[in-house]
Amino acid sequence: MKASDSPGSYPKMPSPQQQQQLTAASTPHPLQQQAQVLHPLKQQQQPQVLQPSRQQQQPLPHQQHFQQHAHHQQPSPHHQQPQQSQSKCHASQQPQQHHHHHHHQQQQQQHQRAQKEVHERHYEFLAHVGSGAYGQVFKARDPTRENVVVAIKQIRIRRSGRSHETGMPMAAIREISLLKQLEKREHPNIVQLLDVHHQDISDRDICLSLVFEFIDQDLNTYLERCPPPGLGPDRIRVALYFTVLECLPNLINICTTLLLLRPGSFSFPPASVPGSGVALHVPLSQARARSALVVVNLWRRRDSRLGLRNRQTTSSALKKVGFLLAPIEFDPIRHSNDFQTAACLPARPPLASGDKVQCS
Amino acid sequence: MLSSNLDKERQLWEPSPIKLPSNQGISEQQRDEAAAWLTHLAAQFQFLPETCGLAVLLMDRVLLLVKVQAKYLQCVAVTCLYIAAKSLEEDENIPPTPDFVRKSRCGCSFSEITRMEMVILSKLGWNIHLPSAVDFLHTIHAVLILHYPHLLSSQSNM
Repeated sequence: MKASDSPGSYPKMPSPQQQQQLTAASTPHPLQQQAQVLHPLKQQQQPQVLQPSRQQQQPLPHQQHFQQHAHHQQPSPHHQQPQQSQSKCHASQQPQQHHHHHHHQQQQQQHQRAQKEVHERHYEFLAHVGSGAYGQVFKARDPTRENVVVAIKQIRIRRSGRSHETGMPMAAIREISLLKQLEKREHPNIVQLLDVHHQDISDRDICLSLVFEFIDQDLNTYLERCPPPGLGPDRIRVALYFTVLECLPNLINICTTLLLLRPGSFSFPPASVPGSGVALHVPLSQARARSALVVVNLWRRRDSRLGLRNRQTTSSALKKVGFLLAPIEFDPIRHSNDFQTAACLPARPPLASGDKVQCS
Repeated sequence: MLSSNLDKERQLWEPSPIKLPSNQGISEQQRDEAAAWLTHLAAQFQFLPETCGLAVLLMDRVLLLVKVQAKYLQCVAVTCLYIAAKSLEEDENIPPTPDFVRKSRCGCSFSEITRMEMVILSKLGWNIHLPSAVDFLHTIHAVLILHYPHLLSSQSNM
């Protein structure tokens, strides 16, 4: 294959629509047959794309789930009419599907539109947990494993439009691959990513779902709910030092630590679980702790902007640790405003902090 | 010391791909040509060497996992480069897809790249932070410098 091949000779890849039809109807078009060679595994997996691997042994998981649903007749507010393209795709396999969903014509809230009918087949959606920067998070139950509750983060990706000319968003690629990398370590303070699915909603849009273990609260909510006595900055400092330093040998490079050191990234097991998240169980003063974390967050962002180029070198890695620890070392409240304004500009870190970094 | 530990850890961590020489669709020569082309493209876009290494690695993984027809090889290669760039490069350094398609003269369209991206990512299970050849080179270099510090000083004298 040469770089100079003419564009005209290049065959078109089948559109998502065509692929869906391919799975439904069993008579492939010659053009689609080519695609089958390219995606041999994909074709096999297509009907169960949204299904975690551990469920695959079950012969008809969708139908089983439907029965379960019929059993619990209480209508969940998250059910909705299936979208047209999907019902077309699966109608031949499951004639009772239409039926089922007519029972659940409930009020249509905005967030329900992002939610996909296919998920309901495998996960029972329990509640809408919250909306993040680029996605919605739902709490859901895995019907095949009892009492397993997962959090599903759904990201909707548009493939068209001026603002979405980059295909899969960079942040999503980075986040998922990092979490994938980390899941082998099974660190008690890092959220486990259980599964990743993607599904074509229409020709243009893709819905990406990340299935996480469900955590009662992240560090932010913990700080908000923390009982009034309050906790001094010393405690925060110690806790964060411990967390950061504890992570270092475990992680592959420091960059990873930086990316994950956000309040929302800490998984925070309930207090009943002993031995996990010890450092974070140190009581913290609400207001102060939060500002400290915000500061860390800002530093992290700015430093990743600065330091990504020579991210591989040990010196820059150590510098990053310094950047992390330095704002913790300072009085968080006094410095939070400075950092906030500084972080808005693409500025270099103040020299004073740089000196501090070298000391620490 | 630290570096050699890191080195060991990386090797342990590597998901031990089974190297099957019998790649049905693509010959070794074609693969080498595609890799050379990727190197050329990476230089053209001024990507980091790490990006290039990762792109070639991703391409190899895809070729191992999926049977790819020769005519799709170029699309696979370009998409791997794009994924690698997205995961490693600085934000400002990543061209939007249309520009990327045009400048790389890869002969495939914007939508083909985005579709292929999705396919590749799901094939690889989103596991794209694999240690590439360039990473190993870094580690070995670090170990070398640690054990023979005079190499560094002689270099700085030059």
